[in-house]
Amino acid sequence: MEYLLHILVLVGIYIILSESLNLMVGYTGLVSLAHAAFYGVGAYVAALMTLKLHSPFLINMASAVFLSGLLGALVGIPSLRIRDDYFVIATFAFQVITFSVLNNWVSLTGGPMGLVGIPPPTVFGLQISSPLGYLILVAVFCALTLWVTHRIVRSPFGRVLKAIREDEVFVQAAAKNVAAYKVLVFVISAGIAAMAGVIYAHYISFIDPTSFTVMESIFIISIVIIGGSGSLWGPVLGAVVLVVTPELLRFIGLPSSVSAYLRQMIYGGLLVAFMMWRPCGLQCGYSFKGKKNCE
Amino acid sequence: MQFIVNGILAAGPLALAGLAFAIVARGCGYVNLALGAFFVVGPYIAFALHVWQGLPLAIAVPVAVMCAYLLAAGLESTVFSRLRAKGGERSVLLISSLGIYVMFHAGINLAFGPEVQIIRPDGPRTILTALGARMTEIQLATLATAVVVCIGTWAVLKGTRAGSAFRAVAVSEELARVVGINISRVRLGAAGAGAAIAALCGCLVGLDTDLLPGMGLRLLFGGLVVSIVGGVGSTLGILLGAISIGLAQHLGAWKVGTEWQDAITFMILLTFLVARPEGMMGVRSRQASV
Repeated sequence: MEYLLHILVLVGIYIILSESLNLMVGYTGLVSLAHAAFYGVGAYVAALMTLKLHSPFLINMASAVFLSGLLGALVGIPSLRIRDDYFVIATFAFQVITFSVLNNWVSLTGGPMGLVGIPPPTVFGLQISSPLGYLILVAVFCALTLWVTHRIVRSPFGRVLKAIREDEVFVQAAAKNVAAYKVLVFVISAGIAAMAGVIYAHYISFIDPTSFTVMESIFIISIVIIGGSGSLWGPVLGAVVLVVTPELLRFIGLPSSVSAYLRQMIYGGLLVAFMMWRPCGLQCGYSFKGKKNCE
Repeated sequence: MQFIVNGILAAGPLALAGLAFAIVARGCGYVNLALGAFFVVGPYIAFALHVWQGLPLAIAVPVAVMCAYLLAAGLESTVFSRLRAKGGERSVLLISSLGIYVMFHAGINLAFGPEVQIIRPDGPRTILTALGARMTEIQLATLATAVVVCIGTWAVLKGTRAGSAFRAVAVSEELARVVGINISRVRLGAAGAGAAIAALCGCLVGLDTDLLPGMGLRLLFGGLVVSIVGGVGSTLGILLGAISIGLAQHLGAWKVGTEWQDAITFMILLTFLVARPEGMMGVRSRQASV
Protein backbone atom coordinates (compact mmCIF):
# COMPACT_ATOMS: atom_id res chain seq x y z
CA MET A 1 0.00 0.00 0.00
CA GLU A 2 2.77 2.40 0.90
CA TYR A 3 4.49 1.53 -2.33
CA LEU A 4 1.38 2.40 -4.26
CA LEU A 5 1.12 5.73 -2.46
CA HIS A 6 4.77 6.42 -3.26
CA ILE A 7 4.15 5.80 -6.96
CA LEU A 8 1.12 8.06 -6.91
CA VAL A 9 3.09 10.86 -5.29
CA LEU A 10 5.73 10.57 -8.01
CA VAL A 11 3.06 10.55 -10.69
CA GLY A 12 1.62 13.67 -9.15
CA ILE A 13 4.97 15.46 -9.18
CA TYR A 14 5.49 14.57 -12.81
CA ILE A 15 1.99 15.69 -13.72
CA ILE A 16 2.83 19.14 -12.38
CA LEU A 17 6.14 19.14 -14.27
CA SER A 18 4.74 17.93 -17.54
CA GLU A 19 1.66 20.15 -17.53
CA SER A 20 3.86 23.17 -17.04
CA LEU A 21 6.22 22.09 -19.79
CA ASN A 22 3.23 21.39 -21.99
CA LEU A 23 2.32 25.07 -21.83
CA MET A 24 5.58 25.80 -23.55
CA VAL A 25 6.02 22.82 -25.84
CA GLY A 26 2.48 21.83 -26.67
CA TYR A 27 0.69 25.14 -26.72
CA THR A 28 3.37 27.64 -27.72
CA GLY A 29 5.57 25.32 -29.73
CA LEU A 30 8.76 26.11 -27.83
CA VAL A 31 10.82 22.99 -27.19
CA SER A 32 12.71 23.48 -23.96
CA LEU A 33 15.29 21.20 -22.37
CA ALA A 34 15.69 23.46 -19.35
CA HIS A 35 12.75 22.27 -17.32
CA ALA A 36 14.77 20.21 -14.89
CA ALA A 37 16.67 23.39 -14.07
CA PHE A 38 13.50 25.15 -12.87
CA TYR A 39 12.44 22.02 -11.04
CA GLY A 40 15.82 21.96 -9.31
CA VAL A 41 15.79 25.65 -8.48
CA GLY A 42 12.39 25.25 -6.86
CA ALA A 43 13.62 22.31 -4.81
CA TYR A 44 16.80 24.04 -3.69
CA VAL A 45 15.11 27.33 -2.79
CA ALA A 46 12.55 25.55 -0.65
CA ALA A 47 15.15 23.31 0.96
CA LEU A 48 17.49 26.20 1.76
CA MET A 49 14.71 28.33 3.14
CA THR A 50 13.41 25.54 5.35
CA LEU A 51 16.85 24.56 6.57
CA LYS A 52 18.39 27.96 7.07
CA LEU A 53 15.45 30.26 7.75
CA HIS A 54 12.86 27.83 9.11
CA SER A 55 10.21 29.80 7.28
CA PRO A 56 6.72 28.40 6.79
CA PHE A 57 5.95 26.10 3.91
CA LEU A 58 3.71 28.40 1.95
CA ILE A 59 6.20 31.24 2.09
CA ASN A 60 8.87 28.86 0.78
CA MET A 61 6.55 27.74 -1.96
CA ALA A 62 5.79 31.29 -2.99
CA SER A 63 9.46 32.27 -2.98
CA ALA A 64 10.45 29.23 -4.98
CA VAL A 65 7.79 29.94 -7.58
CA PHE A 66 8.74 33.60 -7.72
CA LEU A 67 12.49 33.01 -8.06
CA SER A 68 12.00 30.29 -10.62
CA GLY A 69 9.73 32.54 -12.61
CA LEU A 70 12.34 35.27 -12.47
CA LEU A 71 14.89 32.81 -13.78
CA GLY A 72 12.43 31.89 -16.50
CA ALA A 73 12.30 35.52 -17.55
CA LEU A 74 16.07 35.79 -17.47
CA VAL A 75 16.33 32.80 -19.76
CA GLY A 76 13.39 33.74 -21.91
CA ILE A 77 14.35 37.25 -22.82
CA PRO A 78 17.64 36.58 -24.59
CA SER A 79 16.27 33.37 -26.06
CA LEU A 80 13.65 35.24 -28.01
CA ARG A 81 16.01 36.17 -30.75
CA ILE A 82 17.15 32.61 -31.31
CA ARG A 83 15.55 30.46 -33.97
CA ASP A 84 13.82 27.11 -33.33
CA ASP A 85 16.48 24.42 -33.18
CA TYR A 86 19.08 26.75 -31.75
CA PHE A 87 16.53 27.73 -29.13
CA VAL A 88 16.53 24.14 -27.92
CA ILE A 89 20.31 24.24 -27.71
CA ALA A 90 20.13 27.49 -25.76
CA THR A 91 17.75 25.94 -23.25
CA PHE A 92 20.10 23.00 -22.99
CA ALA A 93 22.99 25.36 -22.35
CA PHE A 94 21.00 27.03 -19.61
CA GLN A 95 20.18 23.66 -18.09
CA VAL A 96 23.87 22.70 -17.95
CA ILE A 97 24.85 26.04 -16.48
CA THR A 98 22.22 25.72 -13.75
CA PHE A 99 23.35 22.20 -12.98
CA SER A 100 26.92 23.47 -12.77
CA VAL A 101 25.92 26.13 -10.30
CA LEU A 102 23.97 23.68 -8.16
CA ASN A 103 26.83 21.22 -8.25
CA ASN A 104 29.73 23.59 -7.70
CA TRP A 105 28.53 26.39 -5.45
CA VAL A 106 29.30 24.21 -2.49
CA SER A 107 28.91 26.81 0.20
CA LEU A 108 25.32 27.48 -0.78
CA THR A 109 24.01 24.24 -2.22
CA GLY A 110 26.24 21.64 -0.62
CA GLY A 111 27.57 20.76 -4.05
CA PRO A 112 27.42 17.13 -5.06
CA MET A 113 26.56 16.13 -1.52
CA GLY A 114 23.34 18.06 -1.69
CA LEU A 115 21.13 19.07 1.17
CA VAL A 116 19.97 16.60 3.77
CA GLY A 117 17.47 16.47 6.52
CA ILE A 118 14.77 18.58 4.93
CA PRO A 119 11.96 18.56 7.50
CA PRO A 120 8.37 17.69 6.57
CA PRO A 121 6.24 20.69 5.75
CA THR A 122 3.60 22.12 8.04
CA VAL A 123 0.58 23.50 6.26
CA PHE A 124 -2.05 25.32 8.29
CA GLY A 125 -0.75 23.72 11.46
CA LEU A 126 -0.90 20.18 10.13
CA GLN A 127 2.39 18.44 9.72
CA ILE A 128 2.61 16.33 6.61
CA SER A 129 4.80 13.32 7.13
CA SER A 130 2.88 10.24 6.11
CA PRO A 131 2.76 9.05 2.50
CA LEU A 132 -0.98 9.66 2.45
CA GLY A 133 -0.39 13.20 3.66
CA TYR A 134 2.04 13.83 0.83
CA LEU A 135 -0.36 12.33 -1.66
CA ILE A 136 -3.04 14.77 -0.60
CA LEU A 137 -0.55 17.64 -0.82
CA VAL A 138 0.51 16.61 -4.30
CA ALA A 139 -3.07 16.10 -5.37
CA VAL A 140 -3.96 19.60 -4.26
CA PHE A 141 -1.14 21.10 -6.26
CA CYS A 142 -1.91 18.92 -9.26
CA ALA A 143 -5.45 20.17 -9.19
CA LEU A 144 -4.16 23.72 -8.94
CA THR A 145 -1.83 23.17 -11.89
CA LEU A 146 -4.54 21.64 -14.03
CA TRP A 147 -6.92 24.46 -13.17
CA VAL A 148 -4.36 27.14 -14.02
CA THR A 149 -3.44 25.38 -17.26
CA HIS A 150 -7.07 24.97 -18.20
CA ARG A 151 -7.79 28.65 -17.57
CA ILE A 152 -4.76 29.76 -19.56
CA VAL A 153 -5.56 27.52 -22.50
CA ARG A 154 -9.15 28.69 -22.74
CA SER A 155 -8.29 32.35 -22.40
CA PRO A 156 -7.40 34.89 -25.09
CA PHE A 157 -3.82 34.60 -23.86
CA GLY A 158 -3.93 30.90 -24.62
CA ARG A 159 -5.31 31.50 -28.08
CA VAL A 160 -2.39 33.76 -28.90
CA LEU A 161 -0.01 31.08 -27.65
CA LYS A 162 -1.53 28.52 -29.97
CA ALA A 163 -1.36 31.02 -32.81
CA ILE A 164 2.33 31.53 -32.12
CA ARG A 165 2.80 27.80 -32.36
CA GLU A 166 1.11 27.73 -35.75
CA ASP A 167 2.65 30.76 -37.39
CA GLU A 168 4.77 33.18 -35.49
CA VAL A 169 5.28 35.70 -38.23
CA PHE A 170 1.57 35.96 -38.80
CA VAL A 171 0.97 36.72 -35.14
CA GLN A 172 3.62 39.40 -35.24
CA ALA A 173 1.91 40.89 -38.26
CA ALA A 174 -1.34 40.90 -36.34
CA ALA A 175 0.35 43.37 -34.00
CA LYS A 176 0.70 41.07 -31.01
CA ASN A 177 3.90 41.35 -29.02
CA VAL A 178 5.10 37.81 -29.59
CA ALA A 179 8.19 38.32 -27.49
CA ALA A 180 6.16 39.31 -24.45
CA TYR A 181 3.90 36.27 -24.78
CA LYS A 182 6.85 33.95 -25.06
CA VAL A 183 8.54 35.37 -22.00
CA LEU A 184 5.32 35.20 -20.05
CA VAL A 185 4.71 31.56 -20.84
CA PHE A 186 8.31 30.81 -19.91
CA VAL A 187 7.80 32.52 -16.55
CA ILE A 188 4.56 30.71 -15.80
CA SER A 189 5.95 27.37 -16.88
CA ALA A 190 9.06 27.83 -14.75
CA GLY A 191 7.06 28.89 -11.73
CA ILE A 192 4.80 25.85 -11.82
CA ALA A 193 7.79 23.56 -12.26
CA ALA A 194 9.25 25.04 -9.11
CA MET A 195 6.13 23.96 -7.19
CA ALA A 196 6.90 20.37 -8.11
CA GLY A 197 10.47 20.89 -6.91
CA VAL A 198 9.32 22.16 -3.53
CA ILE A 199 7.08 19.15 -2.97
CA TYR A 200 9.83 16.80 -4.12
CA ALA A 201 12.37 18.34 -1.73
CA HIS A 202 10.12 17.84 1.29
CA TYR A 203 8.96 14.42 0.22
CA ILE A 204 12.37 12.86 -0.33
CA SER A 205 13.91 15.04 2.44
CA PHE A 206 17.22 14.98 0.61
CA ILE A 207 18.16 16.63 -2.68
CA ASP A 208 21.29 16.62 -4.77
CA PRO A 209 22.08 17.95 -8.24
CA THR A 210 21.88 14.54 -9.91
CA SER A 211 18.09 14.64 -9.76
CA PHE A 212 18.05 17.74 -11.95
CA THR A 213 20.14 16.91 -14.98
CA VAL A 214 19.52 17.04 -18.71
CA MET A 215 18.32 13.46 -18.62
CA GLU A 216 15.56 14.56 -16.30
CA SER A 217 14.60 17.33 -18.72
CA ILE A 218 14.50 14.79 -21.51
CA PHE A 219 12.32 12.52 -19.40
CA ILE A 220 9.84 15.32 -18.71
CA ILE A 221 9.63 16.27 -22.34
CA SER A 222 9.10 12.60 -23.20
CA ILE A 223 6.10 12.58 -20.88
CA VAL A 224 4.67 15.59 -22.65
CA ILE A 225 5.21 14.22 -26.13
CA ILE A 226 4.17 10.64 -25.48
CA GLY A 227 1.23 11.64 -23.37
CA GLY A 228 0.03 14.16 -25.87
CA SER A 229 1.35 17.65 -26.26
CA GLY A 230 -1.13 20.42 -26.65
CA SER A 231 -3.90 18.64 -24.80
CA LEU A 232 -4.90 19.12 -21.20
CA TRP A 233 -5.02 15.50 -20.08
CA GLY A 234 -2.24 14.23 -22.31
CA PRO A 235 0.58 14.93 -19.86
CA VAL A 236 -1.44 13.29 -17.08
CA LEU A 237 -1.71 10.15 -19.17
CA GLY A 238 1.94 10.40 -20.08
CA ALA A 239 3.03 10.79 -16.48
CA VAL A 240 1.06 7.73 -15.47
CA VAL A 241 2.44 5.63 -18.30
CA LEU A 242 6.06 6.69 -18.01
CA VAL A 243 6.26 6.54 -14.24
CA VAL A 244 4.29 3.34 -13.71
CA THR A 245 5.62 1.19 -16.56
CA PRO A 246 9.25 1.11 -15.43
CA GLU A 247 8.11 0.30 -11.90
CA LEU A 248 6.48 -2.81 -13.30
CA LEU A 249 9.96 -3.89 -14.33
CA ARG A 250 10.83 -4.26 -10.69
CA PHE A 251 8.45 -7.15 -10.39
CA ILE A 252 10.41 -9.10 -12.97
CA GLY A 253 13.22 -9.18 -10.47
CA LEU A 254 15.89 -7.19 -12.27
CA PRO A 255 18.53 -5.41 -10.17
CA SER A 256 17.75 -1.74 -9.84
CA SER A 257 20.80 -0.61 -11.80
CA VAL A 258 19.69 -2.61 -14.79
CA SER A 259 16.09 -1.52 -14.52
CA ALA A 260 17.13 2.14 -14.44
CA TYR A 261 18.84 1.84 -17.81
CA LEU A 262 16.10 -0.34 -19.19
CA ARG A 263 13.69 2.40 -18.22
CA GLN A 264 15.78 4.86 -20.22
CA MET A 265 15.80 2.59 -23.23
CA ILE A 266 12.05 2.28 -22.99
CA TYR A 267 11.26 5.95 -22.97
CA GLY A 268 13.94 6.74 -25.52
CA GLY A 269 12.45 4.11 -27.77
CA LEU A 270 8.90 5.28 -27.11
CA LEU A 271 9.95 8.81 -27.99
CA VAL A 272 11.28 7.72 -31.36
CA ALA A 273 8.37 5.37 -32.00
CA PHE A 274 5.78 8.01 -31.20
CA MET A 275 7.53 10.60 -33.33
CA MET A 276 7.46 8.18 -36.20
CA TRP A 277 3.94 6.86 -35.93
CA ARG A 278 1.88 9.09 -33.67
CA PRO A 279 3.54 12.43 -33.13
CA CYS A 280 0.63 13.94 -31.35
CA GLY A 281 0.99 11.47 -28.50
CA LEU A 282 -1.51 9.22 -26.81
CA GLN A 283 -4.03 11.94 -26.19
CA CYS A 284 -3.88 13.94 -29.35
CA GLY A 285 -3.69 17.64 -28.93
CA TYR A 286 -1.25 19.10 -31.33
CA SER A 287 0.57 17.13 -33.95
CA PHE A 288 4.12 18.28 -34.49
CA LYS A 289 4.19 17.21 -38.06
CA GLY A 290 2.11 19.24 -40.44
CA LYS A 291 -0.03 21.81 -38.75
CA LYS A 292 -2.92 19.60 -37.77
CA ASN A 293 -4.64 20.67 -34.62
CA CYS A 294 -6.68 17.84 -33.17
CA GLU A 295 -8.29 19.83 -30.41
CA MET B 1 51.86 28.00 -19.61
CA GLN B 2 50.63 24.50 -18.89
CA PHE B 3 47.11 25.83 -19.20
CA ILE B 4 47.72 27.41 -22.57
CA VAL B 5 49.19 24.20 -23.87
CA ASN B 6 46.31 22.24 -22.37
CA GLY B 7 43.92 24.59 -24.07
CA ILE B 8 45.47 24.08 -27.46
CA LEU B 9 45.64 20.32 -26.97
CA ALA B 10 41.99 20.33 -25.97
CA ALA B 11 41.24 21.84 -29.34
CA GLY B 12 42.09 18.51 -30.95
CA PRO B 13 39.06 16.51 -29.88
CA LEU B 14 36.92 19.65 -29.92
CA ALA B 15 37.75 20.29 -33.55
CA LEU B 16 36.95 16.71 -34.52
CA ALA B 17 33.70 16.88 -32.58
CA GLY B 18 32.81 20.22 -34.14
CA LEU B 19 33.52 18.91 -37.60
CA ALA B 20 31.38 15.83 -37.02
CA PHE B 21 28.50 17.91 -35.78
CA ALA B 22 28.75 20.48 -38.55
CA ILE B 23 28.85 17.84 -41.28
CA VAL B 24 25.72 16.20 -39.98
CA ALA B 25 23.93 19.48 -39.29
CA ARG B 26 24.64 20.91 -42.72
CA GLY B 27 24.27 17.72 -44.68
CA CYS B 28 21.07 16.48 -43.10
CA GLY B 29 19.59 19.84 -42.39
CA TYR B 30 18.86 19.67 -38.69
CA VAL B 31 20.46 19.41 -35.29
CA ASN B 32 21.09 15.73 -34.81
CA LEU B 33 21.69 14.81 -31.21
CA ALA B 34 21.88 11.11 -32.00
CA LEU B 35 25.44 11.91 -33.08
CA GLY B 36 26.24 11.89 -29.39
CA ALA B 37 25.71 8.17 -29.50
CA PHE B 38 28.57 7.66 -31.94
CA PHE B 39 31.07 9.51 -29.78
CA VAL B 40 30.53 6.80 -27.23
CA VAL B 41 29.56 3.78 -29.33
CA GLY B 42 32.75 4.06 -31.40
CA PRO B 43 35.17 3.76 -28.51
CA TYR B 44 33.15 1.03 -26.81
CA ILE B 45 33.13 -1.07 -29.97
CA ALA B 46 36.88 -0.58 -30.20
CA PHE B 47 37.13 -1.51 -26.55
CA ALA B 48 35.13 -4.67 -27.07
CA LEU B 49 37.24 -5.65 -30.06
CA HIS B 50 40.54 -4.84 -28.44
CA VAL B 51 40.11 -5.89 -24.83
CA TRP B 52 37.54 -8.63 -25.14
CA GLN B 53 38.50 -10.14 -28.47
CA GLY B 54 42.17 -9.29 -28.40
CA LEU B 55 42.37 -7.55 -31.74
CA PRO B 56 45.17 -5.01 -31.98
CA LEU B 57 44.20 -1.36 -31.73
CA ALA B 58 45.31 -0.66 -35.26
CA ILE B 59 42.46 -2.90 -36.39
CA ALA B 60 39.96 -2.26 -33.62
CA VAL B 61 39.77 1.48 -34.09
CA PRO B 62 39.20 1.56 -37.85
CA VAL B 63 36.63 -1.23 -37.54
CA ALA B 64 34.82 0.76 -34.87
CA VAL B 65 34.86 3.81 -37.12
CA MET B 66 33.45 1.78 -40.00
CA CYS B 67 30.72 0.39 -37.76
CA ALA B 68 29.78 3.90 -36.73
CA TYR B 69 29.55 4.96 -40.36
CA LEU B 70 27.30 2.04 -41.25
CA LEU B 71 25.16 2.41 -38.15
CA ALA B 72 24.59 6.08 -38.79
CA ALA B 73 23.80 5.56 -42.45
CA GLY B 74 21.40 2.82 -41.41
CA LEU B 75 19.63 5.05 -38.91
CA GLU B 76 19.42 7.85 -41.42
CA SER B 77 17.90 5.68 -44.09
CA THR B 78 15.36 4.04 -41.84
CA VAL B 79 14.31 6.22 -38.96
CA PHE B 80 15.09 9.67 -40.12
CA SER B 81 14.01 9.40 -43.72
CA ARG B 82 10.74 8.01 -42.50
CA LEU B 83 10.28 10.91 -40.14
CA ARG B 84 11.11 13.30 -42.91
CA ALA B 85 8.73 11.66 -45.32
CA LYS B 86 5.91 12.26 -42.90
CA GLY B 87 6.61 15.94 -43.10
CA GLY B 88 8.48 16.28 -39.86
CA GLU B 89 9.89 19.64 -39.09
CA ARG B 90 13.15 20.23 -37.37
CA SER B 91 11.77 19.82 -33.85
CA VAL B 92 10.45 16.35 -34.63
CA LEU B 93 13.80 15.18 -35.93
CA LEU B 94 15.62 16.74 -33.02
CA ILE B 95 13.36 15.14 -30.44
CA SER B 96 13.65 11.76 -32.13
CA SER B 97 17.41 12.08 -32.23
CA LEU B 98 17.26 12.71 -28.49
CA GLY B 99 15.32 9.51 -28.09
CA ILE B 100 17.90 7.60 -30.09
CA TYR B 101 20.73 9.02 -28.06
CA VAL B 102 19.01 8.03 -24.80
CA MET B 103 18.52 4.51 -26.10
CA PHE B 104 22.16 4.12 -27.05
CA HIS B 105 23.34 5.63 -23.79
CA ALA B 106 21.21 3.22 -21.80
CA GLY B 107 22.34 0.36 -24.02
CA ILE B 108 26.00 1.09 -23.44
CA ASN B 109 25.39 1.26 -19.70
CA LEU B 110 23.62 -2.08 -19.80
CA ALA B 111 26.22 -3.77 -21.95
CA PHE B 112 29.38 -2.40 -20.40
CA GLY B 113 28.40 -1.02 -17.04
CA PRO B 114 28.69 2.55 -15.78
CA GLU B 115 32.22 2.23 -14.46
CA VAL B 116 35.28 3.53 -16.23
CA GLN B 117 36.70 1.16 -18.80
CA ILE B 118 40.34 1.32 -19.75
CA ILE B 119 41.11 0.61 -23.32
CA ARG B 120 44.87 0.70 -22.94
CA PRO B 121 45.64 -1.44 -19.96
CA ASP B 122 49.37 -1.42 -20.66
CA GLY B 123 50.56 1.17 -18.20
CA PRO B 124 50.60 4.96 -18.04
CA ARG B 125 50.95 7.10 -21.10
CA THR B 126 54.25 8.49 -22.24
CA ILE B 127 54.55 11.98 -20.91
CA LEU B 128 56.50 14.46 -22.99
CA THR B 129 57.74 17.79 -21.82
CA ALA B 130 58.01 20.62 -24.27
CA LEU B 131 57.51 24.37 -24.19
CA GLY B 132 57.50 24.20 -20.42
CA ALA B 133 54.40 22.04 -20.26
CA ARG B 134 53.54 18.38 -19.98
CA MET B 135 51.44 16.45 -22.44
CA THR B 136 50.81 12.91 -23.52
CA GLU B 137 51.58 11.56 -26.96
CA ILE B 138 47.92 10.75 -27.43
CA GLN B 139 46.95 14.36 -27.00
CA LEU B 140 49.45 15.40 -29.64
CA ALA B 141 48.29 12.64 -31.92
CA THR B 142 44.69 13.76 -31.48
CA LEU B 143 45.55 17.33 -32.31
CA ALA B 144 47.48 16.23 -35.36
CA THR B 145 44.63 13.98 -36.46
CA ALA B 146 42.20 16.81 -36.01
CA VAL B 147 44.22 19.13 -38.20
CA VAL B 148 44.65 16.45 -40.84
CA VAL B 149 40.97 15.56 -40.86
CA CYS B 150 39.96 19.21 -41.04
CA ILE B 151 42.26 19.88 -43.96
CA GLY B 152 41.14 16.68 -45.59
CA THR B 153 37.48 17.58 -45.19
CA TRP B 154 38.07 21.02 -46.57
CA ALA B 155 39.85 19.52 -49.57
CA VAL B 156 37.06 17.02 -50.17
CA LEU B 157 34.41 19.70 -49.93
CA LYS B 158 36.15 22.02 -52.30
CA GLY B 159 37.65 19.55 -54.71
CA THR B 160 35.42 16.57 -55.25
CA ARG B 161 31.99 16.17 -56.80
CA ALA B 162 30.66 14.62 -53.64
CA GLY B 163 31.93 17.63 -51.76
CA SER B 164 30.21 20.03 -54.10
CA ALA B 165 27.00 18.05 -53.87
CA PHE B 166 27.21 18.26 -50.10
CA ARG B 167 27.76 22.00 -50.17
CA ALA B 168 24.84 22.41 -52.54
CA VAL B 169 22.50 20.50 -50.25
CA ALA B 170 23.76 22.44 -47.27
CA VAL B 171 22.91 25.74 -48.89
CA SER B 172 19.57 24.87 -50.39
CA GLU B 173 17.99 21.47 -50.55
CA GLU B 174 15.34 22.46 -53.03
CA LEU B 175 17.73 23.94 -55.51
CA ALA B 176 20.03 20.96 -55.16
CA ARG B 177 17.14 18.68 -55.99
CA VAL B 178 16.33 20.79 -59.04
CA VAL B 179 19.87 20.47 -60.29
CA GLY B 180 19.56 16.71 -60.00
CA ILE B 181 21.61 15.94 -56.95
CA ASN B 182 20.65 12.78 -55.12
CA ILE B 183 19.68 14.25 -51.79
CA SER B 184 19.27 11.03 -49.88
CA ARG B 185 22.69 9.85 -50.96
CA VAL B 186 24.24 13.09 -49.73
CA ARG B 187 22.38 12.70 -46.46
CA LEU B 188 23.54 9.12 -45.99
CA GLY B 189 27.09 10.16 -46.68
CA ALA B 190 26.90 13.11 -44.35
CA ALA B 191 25.38 11.11 -41.52
CA GLY B 192 27.94 8.38 -42.00
CA ALA B 193 30.91 10.72 -42.27
CA GLY B 194 29.86 12.67 -39.23
CA ALA B 195 29.42 9.51 -37.22
CA ALA B 196 32.76 8.14 -38.40
CA ILE B 197 34.58 11.28 -37.34
CA ALA B 198 32.70 11.25 -34.06
CA ALA B 199 33.70 7.65 -33.43
CA LEU B 200 37.31 8.48 -34.25
CA CYS B 201 37.18 11.40 -31.86
CA GLY B 202 35.70 9.21 -29.17
CA CYS B 203 38.34 6.53 -29.65
CA LEU B 204 41.18 9.02 -29.42
CA VAL B 205 39.72 10.63 -26.32
CA GLY B 206 39.12 7.19 -24.86
CA LEU B 207 42.73 6.24 -25.43
CA ASP B 208 43.76 9.29 -23.48
CA THR B 209 41.25 9.48 -20.68
CA ASP B 210 39.46 6.11 -20.63
CA LEU B 211 35.86 5.31 -21.39
CA LEU B 212 32.76 6.39 -19.56
CA PRO B 213 29.20 6.06 -20.86
CA GLY B 214 28.64 9.77 -20.30
CA MET B 215 31.42 10.81 -22.65
CA GLY B 216 29.09 10.88 -25.63
CA LEU B 217 27.01 13.79 -24.49
CA ARG B 218 30.03 15.71 -23.28
CA LEU B 219 31.85 15.40 -26.59
CA LEU B 220 28.70 16.10 -28.58
CA PHE B 221 28.09 19.34 -26.82
CA GLY B 222 31.69 20.31 -27.09
CA GLY B 223 31.31 19.79 -30.81
CA LEU B 224 28.08 21.71 -30.88
CA VAL B 225 29.56 24.70 -29.10
CA VAL B 226 32.61 24.68 -31.33
CA SER B 227 30.63 24.53 -34.54
CA ILE B 228 28.28 27.30 -33.51
CA VAL B 229 31.04 29.53 -32.17
CA GLY B 230 33.31 28.84 -35.09
CA GLY B 231 30.64 29.08 -37.72
CA VAL B 232 28.82 26.03 -39.05
CA GLY B 233 29.66 26.76 -42.64
CA SER B 234 33.41 26.99 -42.40
CA THR B 235 36.06 24.34 -41.73
CA LEU B 236 38.59 26.96 -40.78
CA GLY B 237 36.00 28.43 -38.46
CA ILE B 238 35.69 25.11 -36.68
CA LEU B 239 39.44 24.90 -36.13
CA LEU B 240 39.50 28.46 -34.84
CA GLY B 241 36.46 27.81 -32.73
CA ALA B 242 38.03 24.70 -31.26
CA ILE B 243 41.20 26.53 -30.31
CA SER B 244 39.23 29.40 -28.80
CA ILE B 245 36.97 27.18 -26.78
CA GLY B 246 39.85 24.96 -25.69
CA LEU B 247 41.82 27.96 -24.50
CA ALA B 248 38.80 29.52 -22.85
CA GLN B 249 38.03 26.30 -21.02
CA HIS B 250 41.51 25.84 -19.64
CA LEU B 251 42.35 29.44 -18.92
CA GLY B 252 38.97 29.69 -17.28
CA ALA B 253 39.76 26.60 -15.25
CA TRP B 254 42.98 28.22 -14.17
CA LYS B 255 41.17 31.34 -13.01
CA VAL B 256 38.02 29.97 -11.39
CA GLY B 257 38.59 26.26 -11.04
CA THR B 258 38.06 23.27 -13.26
CA GLU B 259 34.58 22.51 -12.00
CA TRP B 260 33.25 25.57 -13.81
CA GLN B 261 34.52 24.47 -17.21
CA ASP B 262 31.13 23.35 -18.49
CA ALA B 263 29.44 26.49 -17.29
CA ILE B 264 32.05 28.65 -19.02
CA THR B 265 31.71 26.74 -22.26
CA PHE B 266 27.95 27.10 -22.30
CA MET B 267 27.99 30.75 -21.34
CA ILE B 268 30.18 31.35 -24.38
CA LEU B 269 27.68 29.38 -26.44
CA LEU B 270 24.76 31.42 -25.15
CA THR B 271 26.58 34.66 -25.87
CA PHE B 272 27.24 33.61 -29.42
CA LEU B 273 23.70 32.34 -29.95
CA VAL B 274 22.28 35.65 -28.90
CA ALA B 275 24.83 38.05 -30.30
CA ARG B 276 26.37 36.32 -33.29
CA PRO B 277 24.57 33.12 -34.23
CA GLU B 278 26.53 32.67 -37.40
CA GLY B 279 29.72 32.20 -35.42
CA MET B 280 33.11 33.69 -36.00
CA MET B 281 33.56 32.76 -39.61
CA GLY B 282 29.99 32.24 -40.64
CA VAL B 283 27.81 34.18 -42.97
CA ARG B 284 24.68 35.79 -41.64
CA SER B 285 21.66 34.11 -43.17
CA ARG B 286 18.34 35.78 -43.51
CA GLN B 287 15.59 34.27 -41.41
CA ALA B 288 12.16 35.46 -40.56
CA SER B 289 12.46 35.94 -36.87
CA VAL B 290 10.54 37.83 -34.24
